[in-house]
Amino acid sequence: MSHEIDRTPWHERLEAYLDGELDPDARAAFEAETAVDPRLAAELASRRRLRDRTRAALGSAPPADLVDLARDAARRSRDDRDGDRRRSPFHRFRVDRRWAAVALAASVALAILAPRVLRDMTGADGRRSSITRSGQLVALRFGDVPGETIELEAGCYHRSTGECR
Amino acid sequence: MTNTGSDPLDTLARDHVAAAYRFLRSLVGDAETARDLLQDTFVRLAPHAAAAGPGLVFATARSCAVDHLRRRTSRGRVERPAERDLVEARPAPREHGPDRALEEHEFRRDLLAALGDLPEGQRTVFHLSEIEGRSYAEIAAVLGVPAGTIASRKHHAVRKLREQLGRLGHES
Repeated sequence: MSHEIDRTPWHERLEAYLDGELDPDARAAFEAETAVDPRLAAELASRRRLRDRTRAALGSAPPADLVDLARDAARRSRDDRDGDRRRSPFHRFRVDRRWAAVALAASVALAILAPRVLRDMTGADGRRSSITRSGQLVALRFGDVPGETIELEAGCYHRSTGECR
Repeated sequence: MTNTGSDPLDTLARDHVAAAYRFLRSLVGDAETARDLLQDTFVRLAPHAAAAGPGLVFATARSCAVDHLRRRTSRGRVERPAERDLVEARPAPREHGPDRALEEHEFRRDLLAALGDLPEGQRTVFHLSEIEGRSYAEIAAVLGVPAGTIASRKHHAVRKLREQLGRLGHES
């Protein structure tokens, strides 16, 4: 405790005093203050009695079987965990498997969505053409040539002739 | 695994079971639940057995107890096991001359019930300080609060306990 202790309520300092948390100066000041006030001295004695009684009530040794109970529970848990690791061929890749699942989901989404995006690409002239991912025209629109290879750009397409509007 | 003294779980259990159980008993109020939570605590501690000290043991036990108390509250069980006993714990008339053992039994029961009325943080501070003799710095680490708040929490906890015990006829 610091010099601020003088502003701390006496009962709060009482707890710190009994718990050995006051520094030597604060401890001496507390004892001096309490010694000259019979009311505080009686309060300190009462609190000490309660402390002793509380420790006797709640501080007793627990049942003897608890050590075995706790240790065996922990041991079973550890052995189960070790067993799981030995059994699973993927236990070394526990973290990697999560990322693999994310990557798989992303791949599936890409496989489903990519053709639609490509099919829905609209030319700069407003005409729509169905094309494959490799750029082959597969559906006829006015002016398109089946099997003709086109190059793709964002927002438009143009034939190998270089036409792009 | 071998069942020898070199197993860190042996050391962990031997050194910390008693304090962890007493702490859990104060936090949850009844012995049976404290036994269950003690097992949960040591299951959680098992991977860290070699490095676990009192701070980690108390923090883990508290975490188990808090989880349990939340579940109990969410299920609507507001009655604590000790509350039923509390009704019967009115002070025996002095003319009946209760013997000391009975008196101490009643005091313990009422103390546990009074502890149950405290906020969990104050209960933790009171038990770790009063019963286990832990320093305010250690308790602050268990609770994850500044050490400067412990004295105040302890004071409030003691004041409420004394009021409750006084109402039940115990010297406080």
